[in-house]
Amino acid sequence: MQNMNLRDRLMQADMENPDTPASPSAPCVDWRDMGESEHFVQFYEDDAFLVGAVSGFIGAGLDAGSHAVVIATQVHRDAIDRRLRACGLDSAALQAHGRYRVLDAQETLAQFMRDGAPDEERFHACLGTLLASAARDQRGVRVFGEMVALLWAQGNPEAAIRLETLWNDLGRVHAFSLFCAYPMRDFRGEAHGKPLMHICQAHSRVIPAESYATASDADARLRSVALLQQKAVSLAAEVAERQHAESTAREQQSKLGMAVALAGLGIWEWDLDNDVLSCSAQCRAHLGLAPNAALSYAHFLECIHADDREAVQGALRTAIAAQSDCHIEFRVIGAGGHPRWIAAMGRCFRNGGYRMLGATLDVTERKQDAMLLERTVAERTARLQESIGELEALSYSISHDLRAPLRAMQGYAGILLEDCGARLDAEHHTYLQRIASAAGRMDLLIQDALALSRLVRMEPKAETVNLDRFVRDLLDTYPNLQPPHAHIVVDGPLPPVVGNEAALTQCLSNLLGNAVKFVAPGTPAEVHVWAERMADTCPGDQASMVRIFIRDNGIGISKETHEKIFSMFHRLNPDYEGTGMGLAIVKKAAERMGGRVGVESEPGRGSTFWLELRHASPPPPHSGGPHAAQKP
Amino acid sequence: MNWVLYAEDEANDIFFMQRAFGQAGLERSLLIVNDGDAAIAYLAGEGPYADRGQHPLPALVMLDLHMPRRSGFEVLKWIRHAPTVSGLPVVLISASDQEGDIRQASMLGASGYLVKPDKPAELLPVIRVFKNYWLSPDAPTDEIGNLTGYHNLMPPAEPA
Repeated sequence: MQNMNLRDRLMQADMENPDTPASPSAPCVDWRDMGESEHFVQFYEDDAFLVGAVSGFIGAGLDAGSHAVVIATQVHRDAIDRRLRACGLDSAALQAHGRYRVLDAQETLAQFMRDGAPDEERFHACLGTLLASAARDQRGVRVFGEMVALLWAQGNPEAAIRLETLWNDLGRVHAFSLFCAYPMRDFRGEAHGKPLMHICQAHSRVIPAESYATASDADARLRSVALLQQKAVSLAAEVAERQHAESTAREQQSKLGMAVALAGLGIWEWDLDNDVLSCSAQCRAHLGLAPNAALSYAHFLECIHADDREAVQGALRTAIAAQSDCHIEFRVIGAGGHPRWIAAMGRCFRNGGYRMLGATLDVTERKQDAMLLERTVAERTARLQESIGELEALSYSISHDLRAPLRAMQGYAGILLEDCGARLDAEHHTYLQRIASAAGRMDLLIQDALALSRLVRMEPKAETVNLDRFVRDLLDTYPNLQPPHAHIVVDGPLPPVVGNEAALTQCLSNLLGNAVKFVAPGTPAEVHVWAERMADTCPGDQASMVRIFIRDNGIGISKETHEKIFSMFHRLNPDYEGTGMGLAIVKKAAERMGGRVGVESEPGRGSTFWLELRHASPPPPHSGGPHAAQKP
Repeated sequence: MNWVLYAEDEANDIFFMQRAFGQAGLERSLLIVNDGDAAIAYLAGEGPYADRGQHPLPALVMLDLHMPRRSGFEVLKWIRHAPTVSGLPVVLISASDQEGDIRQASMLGASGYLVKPDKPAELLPVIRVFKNYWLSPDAPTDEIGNLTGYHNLMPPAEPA
């Protein structure tokens, strides 16, 4: 030990002092070589390293007969003192002699700090005096200070940099070398990059932290630099990546939040195992819950209108049992006691434990609209029913009461002819006949009008009609459709159709009646009836329709009037009796059966009226005989 | 003598009916009341109709469908539930040939349904058939099915 110089002893001290963990001081710095007025900064990662470095710096100075000043924390002061003594320096004697001065960093700082910044005047008063006294004998002064590190650690980098500047100013007045130290841990984070540069600029020499400083030679240092560069680049890349991901996530989050807010959606999550219900502010507002109260299923149920509670519980039970989605709507008692309608959508799933996640929405307006609509529809339907009822009563009354006087007119005219015919002359006979026929025509008008109004009101039941039998029965019923009045030939069998017997009777009796009526005087009526399968108007249809044709040898109809003849009260030919409503009845009856009517005709060449109805699929073979067998 | 009770409020129709009965040789057998309540009072033998010597029970009842106070349907229903007269043949007479009315008459137990003919002369054959069918004990006829505007709704009851 005696043979060793101080530096070597200082280097070795770690091994011998059990208080200090083994950590070599910077081998790249020879503390004896320090200039007389240097201001350098040491970054360190480990306290032991710092203590070693400071002890080397101070110890070498004291050993060389210089003055030394240590302004440090209690812990560092004690550790340095131990180290100096371990190296054979009598620190107590040196202090007593005035060559070694030890100050507390915090206390010293307090002497010149004002409003969070070092005061220049006080700084000079405090430390300028001290250094002036130490520098007086020209043997050099070494100073270690960590007040800047304290300021830095307190989060006041401006004050730290300002203090470094004040030290530099002081260095221009007095010759001393100053050792500053900053723990590397206080420089984490990118924001510290710039202040670090400022600190480095404030010093004449920078000693990097031990992971670099302890490298044994230049080569190792270069490798270390390369490694650090690689680390820096990869860290920078990683940081950028994370920042990008975070900003994307933040952006998505904010977009989602905006959409949720715009939609007025409340968000909720229910941890079933622990019965903890978490609700967003909007969700709490929907349910009428206080903003911060802890929630459970019971709290949720309490919000719900008593009448809806059971249904909600049932829906939730079902969703939980099936681990599926549910959509429920219920009432809650909102502000002012008015019930609000809330829709809740939820999904039950297992993620560790059972969970349910979902959203709520205030649907009061929609509900109210729907209820209003329902009420309006009900009211209008009732009103419509009422007017239909009134219309029915009216037409019933017409059929009974309006016809009674006509019957009387016809009756008395008839009786007069019968009883007094012999006493009346020809002219009087004509008058009486005209009264009777006018009354008869009026009666027909009333009956046709009633038939039409009945067709308009009726909901015809669609049924399969055996058209062939139907037409033959019809011909048997009406004497005017039989010889010698008319010769009607039916090309059978006619296919079955979908129709309604009452409506079909109106159609065919009118069409056949017209066919035999509108013939030239003296010409016997000849009518031909047949049917063809037709394609429907919709594309791709093969032959779903049946068109029944009724061709006559009558007077015919000019093309211009083909459309008009199906409208009400359009009597084409005043020479023929009629109410002008027959074809209107035909058209209406066809439409009520889902069919249509039409005509092909030319004056003098007869007419062909047609009625188109949907074809009825024939019944299955076992349920009925062949078609021909159904004929009468 | 077989009597026929005819309930009708329309004077013209009463006149035509009386004329047809006269032409059929039954001028004295037609008893007229003018509304549904009177028809029931007559058949029950109540009030002005208490004296059966003056107001004998008829062999046939003809009811206009649309009458004041009680309709033909209501009177028919009453008849079918009145033990003394429930077996009487009852024909409903109406200007309407609506299916609903005819079905209703059948359901309530009418014996027939006559649509008032446009020409009063057409009444005569109907009354002749009625005469042969319900008013003389030994008159078989199948004419009844051929009458226009007349619907034979049920097998005729045994003549009273």
